[in-house]
Amino acid sequence: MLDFTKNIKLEPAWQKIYLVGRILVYIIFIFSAIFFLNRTLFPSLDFSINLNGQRVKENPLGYENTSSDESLFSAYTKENFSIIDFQIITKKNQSDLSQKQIAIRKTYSAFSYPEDESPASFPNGSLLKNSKNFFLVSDGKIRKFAGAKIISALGYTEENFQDATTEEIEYSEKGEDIISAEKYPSDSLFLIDNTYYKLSSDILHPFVSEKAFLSYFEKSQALTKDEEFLKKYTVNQDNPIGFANGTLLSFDIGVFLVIDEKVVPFNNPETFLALGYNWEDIIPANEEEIGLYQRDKVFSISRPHPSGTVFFAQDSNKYYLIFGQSKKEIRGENILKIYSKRKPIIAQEKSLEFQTACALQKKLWPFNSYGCKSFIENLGQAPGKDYQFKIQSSPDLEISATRAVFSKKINWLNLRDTLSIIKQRFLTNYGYGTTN
Amino acid sequence: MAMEQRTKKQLGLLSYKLLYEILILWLLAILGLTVIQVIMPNFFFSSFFLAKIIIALFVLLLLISYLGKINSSDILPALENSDKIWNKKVIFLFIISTALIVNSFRDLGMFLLIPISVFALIVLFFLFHQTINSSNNQ
Repeated sequence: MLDFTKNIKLEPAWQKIYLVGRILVYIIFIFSAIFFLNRTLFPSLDFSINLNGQRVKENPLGYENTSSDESLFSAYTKENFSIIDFQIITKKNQSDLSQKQIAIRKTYSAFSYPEDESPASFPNGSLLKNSKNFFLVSDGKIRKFAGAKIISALGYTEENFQDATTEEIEYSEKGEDIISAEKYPSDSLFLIDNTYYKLSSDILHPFVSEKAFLSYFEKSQALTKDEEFLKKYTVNQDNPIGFANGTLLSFDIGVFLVIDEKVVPFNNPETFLALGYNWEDIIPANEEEIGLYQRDKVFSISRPHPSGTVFFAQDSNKYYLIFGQSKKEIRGENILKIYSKRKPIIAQEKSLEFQTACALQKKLWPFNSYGCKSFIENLGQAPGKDYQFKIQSSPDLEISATRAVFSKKINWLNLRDTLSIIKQRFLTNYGYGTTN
Repeated sequence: MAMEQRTKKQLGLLSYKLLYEILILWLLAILGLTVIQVIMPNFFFSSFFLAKIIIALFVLLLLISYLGKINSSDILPALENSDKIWNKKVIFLFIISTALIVNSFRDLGMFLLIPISVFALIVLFFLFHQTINSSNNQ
């Protein structure tokens, strides 16, 4: 073997010790290299949470008390893993958790919101026709035009209205009929001199651009008027209307998500893809359109999808609209047509079931700790980025800390996945690929 | 007493040789990790991790330097005193340095990349030359 200090001579007995020492050093070096390769090619991910309020360095677990005797922990990652090692540390003198089941699923947390009884209805501003009846959705209610005379006096033609079935119309609360042609109802839409407007409480609010208007409605839904019409109402130029919630925008090198009156930048391309979004759905925005919004903190992988997101459950063929902390089923093709302006995120109803479980065993160290291991390869196929762990226990259980370590089995498939990611990153780094 | 002194001397030399061995392997590891970090920044590990490894290298160098001082009467005469700058190790390091420098400036475009890389390599060569000359003079 190479001796870098061959000119420094040792006595024969010490030379033997030196040889043994060298062999040990090389063995440690080789093992370290193997360890490094193992961690690199089969990476593990460590999530934890300390419920005593101490800060966790990185990869925090989400935590929710879903009911008095049920706790839900969430880990957020796009990658597929083979094994999960779960550990709970309780405070002193707690009831024994041995044999308690930890149920595991992988889904999107927004998709797991409770389903609202009422399905999604047409949004405000929608002009609808059903047989010989014509409607406008105004202030959350569906209002019928009293007759053809009112419609033509207001300037509408049949082309302004989109089809709606009787069933779809019934999803909305009924409002008063529109009986007057002298005043436009709230949520009426207009196109005046290449600018779209929405009427609200007798004030005209302009849309920041045509693209913003089209993120909500079709062109035909706006009634064309001339500039004289602007004199009849107050125009609020200070607060133009931006894009619909859940719209993806790009500006400069950033990609943003519209959430309420803010734009939220994605922290990295992996988060964008982990949420199930598609690069083709991004709308390029100009300075004026982006400048309209306040910027919010970055959108990290732990955040759920916002209101306005549409999910498509592949296995049940159903569409859902996220509405606050609940989801509403989108029934009816005509309603779906409106909400599909934002491409749906693919999900599976099956992912809502807790398909995998493991039973907790008491550990010797740390004190008051329990752990279990489970194989989760079968969860890899389910779309989603949120691994959720549910534990049912007594209402007075006090958990001190929880940890979930995800790891991959050493096999050809996992190696191939990692090498593929490395290759993709390498090519992207040198400008030859796009992140996928 | 003489026995004790002999044992101490041999132990010092043994420690020096083993630490030197570790130093070479550590340098190889740093070289490999630096190349990986340059090609795929922050993918396998963070720059902070690499910084910790380099700090550990300095600790190792301090230890070797300390042991070298204690055993200077046996170590110094034995060390090679080569006037040759261009040996295999230096050529290997030069090639790696060139690759790393060119990679760092790759986004500049050819007209800037070539002169800046050549300038950086010349500076590196002069620094290396000065270091070798001053250690030879010592």
